[in-house]
Amino acid sequence: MSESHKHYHGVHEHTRNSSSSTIRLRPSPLITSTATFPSSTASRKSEVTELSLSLIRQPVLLVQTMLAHSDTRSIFLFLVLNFTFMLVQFIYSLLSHSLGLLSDSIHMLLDCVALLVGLLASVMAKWPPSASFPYGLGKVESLSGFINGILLVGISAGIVVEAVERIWRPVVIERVTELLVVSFLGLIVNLVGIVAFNHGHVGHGHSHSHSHSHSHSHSDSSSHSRSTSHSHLHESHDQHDSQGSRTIDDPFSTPSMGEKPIIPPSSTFSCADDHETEKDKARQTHNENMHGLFLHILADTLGSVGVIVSTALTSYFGWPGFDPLASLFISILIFMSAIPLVISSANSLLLSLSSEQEYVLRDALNDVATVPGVVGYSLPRFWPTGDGTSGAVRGIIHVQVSGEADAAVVRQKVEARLCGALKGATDLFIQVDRASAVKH
Amino acid sequence: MKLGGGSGIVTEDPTEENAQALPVDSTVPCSASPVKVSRKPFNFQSTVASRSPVNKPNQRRGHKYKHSSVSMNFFLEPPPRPPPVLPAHFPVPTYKDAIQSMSRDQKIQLGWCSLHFLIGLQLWLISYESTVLMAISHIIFYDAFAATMSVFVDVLSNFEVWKNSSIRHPFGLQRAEILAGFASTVGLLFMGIDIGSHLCENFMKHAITESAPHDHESERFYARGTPIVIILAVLATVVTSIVFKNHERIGTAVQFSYIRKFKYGLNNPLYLTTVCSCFVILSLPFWTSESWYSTIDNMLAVVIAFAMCFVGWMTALTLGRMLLMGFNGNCARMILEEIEGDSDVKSVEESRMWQVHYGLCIINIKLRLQGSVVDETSVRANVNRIIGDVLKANLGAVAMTDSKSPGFATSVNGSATVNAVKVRGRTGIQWESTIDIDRS
Repeated sequence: MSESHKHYHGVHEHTRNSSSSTIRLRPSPLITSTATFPSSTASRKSEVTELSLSLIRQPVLLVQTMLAHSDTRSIFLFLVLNFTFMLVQFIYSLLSHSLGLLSDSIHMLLDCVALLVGLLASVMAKWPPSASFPYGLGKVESLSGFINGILLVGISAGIVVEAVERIWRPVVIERVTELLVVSFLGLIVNLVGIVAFNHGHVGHGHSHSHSHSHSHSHSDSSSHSRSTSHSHLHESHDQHDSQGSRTIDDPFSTPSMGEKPIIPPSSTFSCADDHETEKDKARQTHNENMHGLFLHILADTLGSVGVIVSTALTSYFGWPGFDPLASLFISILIFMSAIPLVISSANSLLLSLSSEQEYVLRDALNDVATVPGVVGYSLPRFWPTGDGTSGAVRGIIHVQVSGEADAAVVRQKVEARLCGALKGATDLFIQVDRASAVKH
Repeated sequence: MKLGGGSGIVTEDPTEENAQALPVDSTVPCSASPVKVSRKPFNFQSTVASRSPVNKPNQRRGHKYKHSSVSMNFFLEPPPRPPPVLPAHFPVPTYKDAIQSMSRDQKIQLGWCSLHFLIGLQLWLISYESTVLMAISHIIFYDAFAATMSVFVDVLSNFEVWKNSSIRHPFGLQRAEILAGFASTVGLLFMGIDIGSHLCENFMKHAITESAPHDHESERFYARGTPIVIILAVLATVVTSIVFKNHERIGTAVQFSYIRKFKYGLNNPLYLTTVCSCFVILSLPFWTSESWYSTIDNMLAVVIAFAMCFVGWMTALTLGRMLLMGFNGNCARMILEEIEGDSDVKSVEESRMWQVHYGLCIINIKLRLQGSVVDETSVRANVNRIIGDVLKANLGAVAMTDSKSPGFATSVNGSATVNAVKVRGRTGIQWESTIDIDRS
């Protein structure tokens, strides 16, 4: 990854965003910002339709929202490209009565659906919290990554089955040149996609794990140690960026902004700011949605390469078994690349803490027990925010205080200690009970 | 070392002690000069104190003003408090643990699941030309997976880590069940779309080539003992739905109010279509001629594909909402509205309500109380009553009643803050409330 390039991107994005800030999509009101709520019989469907209606109602705004952010922009443009190619292929297949092209264009339509899911997830992740989703839809990108991973596993299983069937009963391929041309064009389209996704998102190159760990450690060093001359530059960039998102009211990257009317200034924590920038970076470097889409395109690219190579080999050696062999090989590759995605997104959705977080949290809880006036605590539940890579946690805890202690003071002290120990602990809920009054 | 007898003052002379200890201690490796060694600041070898335990309190080492004859008791000792209960850590069971803990019944159930799967495989193998049979075999795979999952959940719920909260896993591992269900649902949806696209493709192929290859289909339909396999498939579906009740669970997820009242899994469109279409296929020879087989097959397949997509979509919405940490928005609004109606409550500062898994809601509310009021306990009790009432009234919208999940009936950590709404003697849903009262 090139640092200067990234800077440029951030600033660029900011200017774009602030120019389009007046036409931002606001799908649903905040939880408690209004005093009156429509009291109606509860139905889940109305929630869903409410969300999706707001999507459909303003398609122009939607496209503008998509173009405003770099990640959604790259997905959107690639979707348009893919869809156009699919349409051309489909019309040509109808005109030329080619069955192979027809099934290929239907396959591409399914690809477009996967891209659309990813695009929607990317857009929805930026929606503010609502009554239905009190923490916003930050997890939707993990969910989309999970869906894509599961689909890739299923697709690879399907390819294996089909390949085995074809080894059993070899199929003679007709219209070889047409097939070659189409798969070559598909290869070019998918290569464009790979380049676009790599360009927009550092950390998803071919050596995925390597670049990811590198960029992550970089973000750590830049947010904690501000001694090097380089990190000064970075810091200013950070402020710039967070201000930018403040003006555009981007609720995912700045969670406290969406809740500004709700949280009084006294209860926002000093560590929240530091945490935001860190989380922003973590999101930049590790986004399961983009990872899933990237793998999907990679799988398609491999498919095109496989078709070209196996067709060449078949025409050279005259043995029809190369095609299923290539399919088997590719499906194994897809499977292997999808498994880490499934595991990481599943971990994020399970809301489990990492071992470092557990260690820090145990320490913090010991600290809480030593606060004067605290008799004990119960039901500590702390879970990671966002996609879990930022290290930030949210949580609830019930603290029992002795009869004579001042509940408000104890509450503040506990909050301060938890916040001090857990870097980036946001919205803690602390229930203070009198030990004498509560029978636990 | 010499203890001052009875005076309460302990004389300590480290050099004397070392001088005594040194000749005894011959293990010191480099004692070139004894003087040098005796000046070492610490000598941890000496164990004099433990050899003669001090019993009387006034003979302890060091000054204890409390027991000193000359000092007064200025400071009251704090009342003894119980040692803080550290949150537990539960190991995640390995495969070996899980297999060893399985009971005989569970092994039989697992065997049945694999049999179910094999029947589906057989059906899939013979469904060469019939799209309906292929679709049904997909549904049977889905069924077998759901049943296997329910056995695994049964086995895993014997482990502490599954249902109890720990620091590492704040909500146990019960969300894994949701995740697995979501994965299989995505698979179902994908298979439905796949069959649909397959049908479209076939249709268009027929349109392009304008020749209907209806020639050998009747032979294919009833080759190799097809009716027996179909009957087996119906039996497997019925038995599994009775034993594992997986279709009832899907039925509650679907929330189709007209068929929801039916019992024995009939509330599930998937189950209905599977069984009905099996019977239709079986009865084909009795009421129609062979030339119609293909058309009827395609029409049935459209219905089944639609049912698969419908069930998959609805279930995915329900489970996805839980994975995204969502809640029924109307319920949340009603709860907030009622709480704000409470005369003691000045305002609701912040609220976060979400559903963790099938049986647990987390409800966090930050309140500001009216002036110098009141008994916090009664406010909390009132809020809990409100939550209970609202949840009870809208149980269908929130809970997916799931009798299989055993983490259900037992309350988490035996804490009194865990509440449950019971419907007809069956636990519907539990909730945990954290009511953070701000008095500043």
